Amino acid sequence: MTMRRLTLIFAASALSAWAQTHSYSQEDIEEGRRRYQTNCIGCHGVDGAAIAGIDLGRGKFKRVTSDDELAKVIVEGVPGTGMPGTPLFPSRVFMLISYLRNMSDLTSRKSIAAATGEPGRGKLLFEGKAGCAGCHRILGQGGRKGPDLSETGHFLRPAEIEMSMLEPDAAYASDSPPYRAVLNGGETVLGFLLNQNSDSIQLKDDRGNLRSLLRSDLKEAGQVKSWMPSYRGQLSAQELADIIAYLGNQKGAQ
Amino acid sequence: MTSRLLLIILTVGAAHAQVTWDRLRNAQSEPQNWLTYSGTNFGQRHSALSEMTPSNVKDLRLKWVFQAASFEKFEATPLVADGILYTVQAPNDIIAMDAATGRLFWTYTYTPSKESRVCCGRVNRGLAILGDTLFMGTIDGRLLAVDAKSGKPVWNIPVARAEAGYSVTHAPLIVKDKVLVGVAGGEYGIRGFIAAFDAKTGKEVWRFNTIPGPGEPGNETWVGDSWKTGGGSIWVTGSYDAELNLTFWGVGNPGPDWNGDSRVGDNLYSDCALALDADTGKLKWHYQFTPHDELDYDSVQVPVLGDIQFQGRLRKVVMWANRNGIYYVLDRATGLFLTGKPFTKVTWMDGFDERGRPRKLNSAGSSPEGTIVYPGVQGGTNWYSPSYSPRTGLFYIPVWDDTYSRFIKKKDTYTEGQRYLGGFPGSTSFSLNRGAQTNTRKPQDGHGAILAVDAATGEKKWKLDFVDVTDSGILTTATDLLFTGNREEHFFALNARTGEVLWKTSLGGVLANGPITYAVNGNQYVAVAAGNALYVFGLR
Repeated sequence: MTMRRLTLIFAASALSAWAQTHSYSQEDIEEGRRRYQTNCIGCHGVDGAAIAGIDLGRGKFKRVTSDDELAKVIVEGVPGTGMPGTPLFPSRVFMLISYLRNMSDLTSRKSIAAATGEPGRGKLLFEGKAGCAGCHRILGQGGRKGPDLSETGHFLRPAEIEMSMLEPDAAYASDSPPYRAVLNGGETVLGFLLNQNSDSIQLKDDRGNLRSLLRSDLKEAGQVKSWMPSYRGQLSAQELADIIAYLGNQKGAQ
Repeated sequence: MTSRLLLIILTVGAAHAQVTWDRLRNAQSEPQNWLTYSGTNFGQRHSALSEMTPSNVKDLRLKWVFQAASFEKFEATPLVADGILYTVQAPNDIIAMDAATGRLFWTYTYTPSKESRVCCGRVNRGLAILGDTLFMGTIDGRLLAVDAKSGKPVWNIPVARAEAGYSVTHAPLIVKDKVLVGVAGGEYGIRGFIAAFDAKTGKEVWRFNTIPGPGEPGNETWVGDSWKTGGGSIWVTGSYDAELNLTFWGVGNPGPDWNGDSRVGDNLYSDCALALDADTGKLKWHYQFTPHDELDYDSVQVPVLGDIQFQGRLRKVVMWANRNGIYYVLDRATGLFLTGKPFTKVTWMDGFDERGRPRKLNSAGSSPEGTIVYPGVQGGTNWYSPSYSPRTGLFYIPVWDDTYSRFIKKKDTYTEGQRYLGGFPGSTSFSLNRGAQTNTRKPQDGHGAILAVDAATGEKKWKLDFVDVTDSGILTTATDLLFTGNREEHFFALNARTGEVLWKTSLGGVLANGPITYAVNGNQYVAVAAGNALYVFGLR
């Protein structure tokens, strides 16, 4: 056994020991995922393996093993390399780490999609039989009832896309929670919450309109469950894989 | 003679005079100036200025803006002395401006060492002034004296080693001929202290270790060598009572933050109020708000001094809304616990014993699997300046209401200059250092508020709730106005007696400092920083 192999095994077992003594809440991991998307994904990629020799999703780092070392690298960066320091508050750093430690869990979750998908077929399904385009927009084409999916492949890994299709309330596709507001006049506005303060809320409604509503004009308002139907049992394993492959290719306007 | 005319005469008469210790000691008698971090040494952040009133405050208009060339949080409280406004552009540049127009006189640029390490932003909370000299702590652990007229350095001394995690982020406190500062770095396993330096030379005169060493009283509350990395940081300015010649300070969390296993005991003087002899630094009394803290409940708040009616008699007290969610009144001369009352949801304790020691709940410590505790890691309040109005008898608190964290403990080993935390707070609902970002939080995650409590009893009198939280300090005035802000980027004037919103404007940035008020040529101004700019409002 090479020393390198030994080191990797040691590192993995140390991390595993650490993981066994901690349970992360879904909120920790979710917040960590948001931090990853904001601060890390540009260089490390959606699966954490975009840089040679580093595979964040599998606990493979160049310089660090412990969480504290990882935290130090995140906060201070690595001088002389392209890794900049990111001055996050300590709790955010650890939430980011909690996401990194759980990336592989999500990847290894049992998938019901076929092993490989064909993006071309996925596009046809997306726009046809599966009915996705009625609600979702990609590069200016499609509906507005759901989140715009033009950059899905940049932010979500295949396992996350699959979860979003099977369990829409997992809401991987959008950081904006589904929201419902009822105006004093009786109008109901469904949409995604973009922002709020004590005076008003800002929504993208289910027709794609940006709405700013005064709280004084609202009879009720609050977050609701996603109105997207689950595709569990609605598509074959191959069809699911095809759509995932198509969405995985969506990385914005190139 | 009208009060306005008197103010003009006072203003002109004081023009360009030195800011002597006598002036600082009696700062309440020249409300046109804002000479210390909290306005006066009593820490009340209450001004006698009266031009702005509940009836005319709706006419406030923007007079000038200073745009900082910095993307760090703008936490500094400015000083105003005889028409000149001094503030800090984070991390450590001093700016001198015309307080009436914002026109710049000079900038002193200080570049901190690359060895600087701060847990939560490269911030500075303000300056002190004595004579013709300004004093500023730096994030690389130094104390600077800078000439207030020329903006040129006078002296520059090391307070503590930046490479070991020490920094100085709070505004110094002047007492007589000394400059008092403490050290931040509670997330790096520092050993905290407060020190007094000769204002003329920078020579250290006394030092009080907030974590006592062997042979010092309190060391017995630590196990083994754990005191060496015991934290006890100081990062908000203290207060001073000239009659008692005592200076009061709040001490930060013990280290490591979220794991007390290696530091069994009460861990004095972490999370304490301290009363020190201002000439010698000798401890007169202490009161520990949170013994053996594993929840990061720094007692880093401005100790607010007042002489109040307490149970039928006038008492010299210190009033304290603590990060642990409880409002306290202590006897200022003796440290005697007079009362303690939660001002938000508190689950880490269920009351006090007869001596005022909290009855902590064993079920509410950090744990490997995580324990949900209210208030959360950011506290029921934090370092944001409260205000006390002797007119209303109310104490005003910026509150994070009904917030929680899941406190997770893990093993940690100390390495100099590296974070030494012993765990982390998970599931905290709020971004702790969010900038101008959007807010999509759920109601059950808690929210911010301004709360007014009876200063003697802690009884709630009124409350103004926000959807988002607040990092803003509070200012009250002799006309019963209350100025404050929040993360919703609003700056408010409230009726201090009722909480009614009298005026509100959006400044497009988070308010993370305390408003001040001052006057130039008889015109009253109110100043507050939001985002990366300092905004100044006046009536005409």
